[in-house]
Amino acid sequence: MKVIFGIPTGSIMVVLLVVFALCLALSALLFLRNRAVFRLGVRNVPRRPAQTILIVVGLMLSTLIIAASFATGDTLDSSIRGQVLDVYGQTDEQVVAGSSGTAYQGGARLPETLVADLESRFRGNPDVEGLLPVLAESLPVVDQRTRLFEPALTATGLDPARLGPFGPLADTGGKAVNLGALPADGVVLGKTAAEKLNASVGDTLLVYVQNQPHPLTVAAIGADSLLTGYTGASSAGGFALPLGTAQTLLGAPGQITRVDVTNRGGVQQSPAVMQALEAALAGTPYQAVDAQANELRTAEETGNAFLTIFLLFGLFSIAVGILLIFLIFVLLAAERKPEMGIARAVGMKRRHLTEMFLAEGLAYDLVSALVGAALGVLVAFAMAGFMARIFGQAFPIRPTVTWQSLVIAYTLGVVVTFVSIVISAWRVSRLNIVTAIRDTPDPVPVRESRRWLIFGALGVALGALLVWVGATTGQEFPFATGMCAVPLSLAVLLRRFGVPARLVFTVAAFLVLFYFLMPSTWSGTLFPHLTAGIEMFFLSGILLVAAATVIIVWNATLLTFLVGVLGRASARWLPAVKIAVAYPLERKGRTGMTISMFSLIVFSLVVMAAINDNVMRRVVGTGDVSAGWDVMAVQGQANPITDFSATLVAHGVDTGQIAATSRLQVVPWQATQVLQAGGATTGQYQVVGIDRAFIDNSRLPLQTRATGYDSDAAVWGRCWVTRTWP
Amino acid sequence: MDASAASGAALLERAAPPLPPTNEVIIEASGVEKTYDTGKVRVVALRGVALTVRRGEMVAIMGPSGCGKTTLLNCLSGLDTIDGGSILIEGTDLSRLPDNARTEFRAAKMGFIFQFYNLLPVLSAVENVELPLLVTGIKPRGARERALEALGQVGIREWADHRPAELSGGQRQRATIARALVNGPAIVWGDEPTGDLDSETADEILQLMRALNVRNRQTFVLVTHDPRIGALCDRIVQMKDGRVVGA
Repeated sequence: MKVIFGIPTGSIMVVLLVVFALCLALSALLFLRNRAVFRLGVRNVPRRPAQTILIVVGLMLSTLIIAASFATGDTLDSSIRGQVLDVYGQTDEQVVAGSSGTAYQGGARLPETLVADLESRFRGNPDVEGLLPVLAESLPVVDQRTRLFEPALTATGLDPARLGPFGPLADTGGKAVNLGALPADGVVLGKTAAEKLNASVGDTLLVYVQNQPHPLTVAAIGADSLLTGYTGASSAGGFALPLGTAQTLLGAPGQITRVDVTNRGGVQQSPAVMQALEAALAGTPYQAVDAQANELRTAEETGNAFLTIFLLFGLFSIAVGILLIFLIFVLLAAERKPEMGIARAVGMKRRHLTEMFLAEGLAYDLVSALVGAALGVLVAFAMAGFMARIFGQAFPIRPTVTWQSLVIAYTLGVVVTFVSIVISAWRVSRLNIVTAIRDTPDPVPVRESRRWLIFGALGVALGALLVWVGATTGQEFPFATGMCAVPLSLAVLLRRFGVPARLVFTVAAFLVLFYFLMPSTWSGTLFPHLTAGIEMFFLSGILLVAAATVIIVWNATLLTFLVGVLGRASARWLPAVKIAVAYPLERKGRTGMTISMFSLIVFSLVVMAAINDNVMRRVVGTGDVSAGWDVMAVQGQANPITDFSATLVAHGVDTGQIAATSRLQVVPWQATQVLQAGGATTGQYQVVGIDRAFIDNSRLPLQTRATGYDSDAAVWGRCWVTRTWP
Repeated sequence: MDASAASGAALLERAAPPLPPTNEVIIEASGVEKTYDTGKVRVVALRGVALTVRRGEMVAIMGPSGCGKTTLLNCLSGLDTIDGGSILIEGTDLSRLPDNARTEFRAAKMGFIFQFYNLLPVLSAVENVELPLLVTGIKPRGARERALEALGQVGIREWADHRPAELSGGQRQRATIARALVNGPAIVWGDEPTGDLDSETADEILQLMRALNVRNRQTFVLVTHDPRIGALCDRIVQMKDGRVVGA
């Protein structure tokens, strides 16, 4: 894992370590400057052990989630990378037919002589250690003993004379297998294929080529890798056999499907080798692919994608954690209000109270972040256990956590908590001495202080700036932040002029709600086109919850009224209910924070459920996804079926149960290139060729249609026009 | 009475001779007004209060509940702000000072004794007493010596290392008095200083305060319902409905 939200983790770690050091330095400075105040703060820690434990548990939650997210990202990254390394082994690059820049191996053949040409070109090249001609083809296989059948195992013909630098083939016990010394019909069956066929050494495999069976014998069962036809999680695996045998079997003498390349310096040398290969292959119909590096990049991107999703929920937990910290300190301050009042009366300044809470908070912070980071790793490893059960068949899960992740999780936990403590300590230090000593509620000012005027004006200016930045760059995150900051800051500003708090905050909060909840057609008309990422879940969640909470808290008197009206029906319960409602209403700040905490948790759970539902629909599919078709049969290139229905009838299948059949030809996205009119590459799409029966029998409603097409049928009809490609 | 506590009279006898009396005005309040306005409710707590207190005087502020006694004390001591009038303490107008300066002024010139919550529970008696010195920058060693001396003055030096929870009500209030006196304040403010004590202990505390007042010539301004305190003071300021009605 190297990048989070577009920022390198190394940079994140350095910044966090610097901020962490600053936090500790600030604390040390406070200690040295006034030990009495520091002591006063720290002495509060063991004051109520049960309360201290609760605080530590509360504060550690965000660190725990962060650590768990990072450890899960590490585990996924390590597991996926590990599988890539296992599969590719010593193979770093591949030379294949085509020029699309990707590792398409869909049956295109190359002359075997290409290997000798390349060997002569690269003789003396310090980076290239070896070249291996490979002929790979997908074939149906039956194990005669077990009668188990696999429709697509990859037969991989390898040149035993050139196999050395790619590492010897080894059986599952680690013992080297000499491919050149195998019997004429011997193959090395890959582990996954052996499991699928329940095959053992000595079994006879019937391999179908051109619909004719060819008996081969399992000479050994080897580890899964490219050399034994295994290409990854979705692969059924295959078997290795000498290149000559494979060419004879497939009727492809002198032909191969790719040339594997191994580097002396491993995958790190890929850029240099790729440059040399591209130079060597210039002007030929062949291309070089940095196969292993490409797969590793994909693995990293996959790990990062999972990490981003986990961190999204980590951000929610951080937000909840911050609210919890505020709430804890507000409650601590409320409990000690008279003491703090006395302390202020006898000469402690606001700064001293802030420092006192800071010292206490730092003690909680350092311990809770440590506990949180450790527990986060444990949680991640437990999750890895669950993932192993779910994905273990696809690829082995290897629980992993890097020291970099631990440092980031711990320092991030400490820093976030520290900053929250500083703000909450500053807030609670601004107490009214008289009301504090008497432990009575603080007076509500008719109008707010000049500080609010400054904050409000700054908020409006910053909000306007963010709107401008968002509109200019087309990014919704700053735009939405600004759009919400402006009304909320205006409300703060208007409070300075004595406009009633309930009115201004309610209106501002409704504007924020309106921004996020308005129909997309309205926002499309009112605002410029904006792009957004997964981070908008977080921003919208925070702001929606904040706005709704503000509305509830400032209009809670309506709730009391409703309770009174509704409670008339059951007068016996009314006093208890009224009291129950009155207490939270008495402390708007605390009630608001509590509501926000619960709301954020529920919001994040709903987001998680929505994402999960969408992913499951995408991955597992629904009736809509299959377009009404029930069975899919896959045909290998080596065994073409010209008439599917006739073949079924010939094999005794009752085709009267089949309503329709159709034929599709899939060209993988790797083998495509989408070019603009000017020749610039714009992307790669999977191309699916369909026949008329597919159109006529599919339930495939179109989501959008181009102008000029009145119906789906018109679109499909246009697709069916015979055309000649340039 | 606590076994460890000496009586106020005994303390007075052990101390150095009293300082000579003075007519210097230390507190001068005129036209002081204070209103609590929540937006919905408006309560006028002080209505043009005028009051003068001389250095070394021991004054009791008395009156019915809600007449503004505690509000007046809070305003005079700078704990609370005023809406009108002026208050000069040793010639300094506290209302014109920023919060930090006002706090420093309080720490240097004033001591406080309240009815409840006087001591910080996580600090020992001596740590409580030395706190006002430490936050004003006095070196820890010097602060500790002065705190122990103050505890000795009020007769509980041997309880110096005990936390408030381990002290009796009388001992706690003595520690509070020690804290109020440790910085050698010009004025000691007391809000119902014996309100939470039984009558015997209350008498002891009263004697102690009076003894220190006489001995150190420190000004004591005490808000109280207790007529015994009034009887012990040099003067009683009577209040009613936010006004001084007799002094």
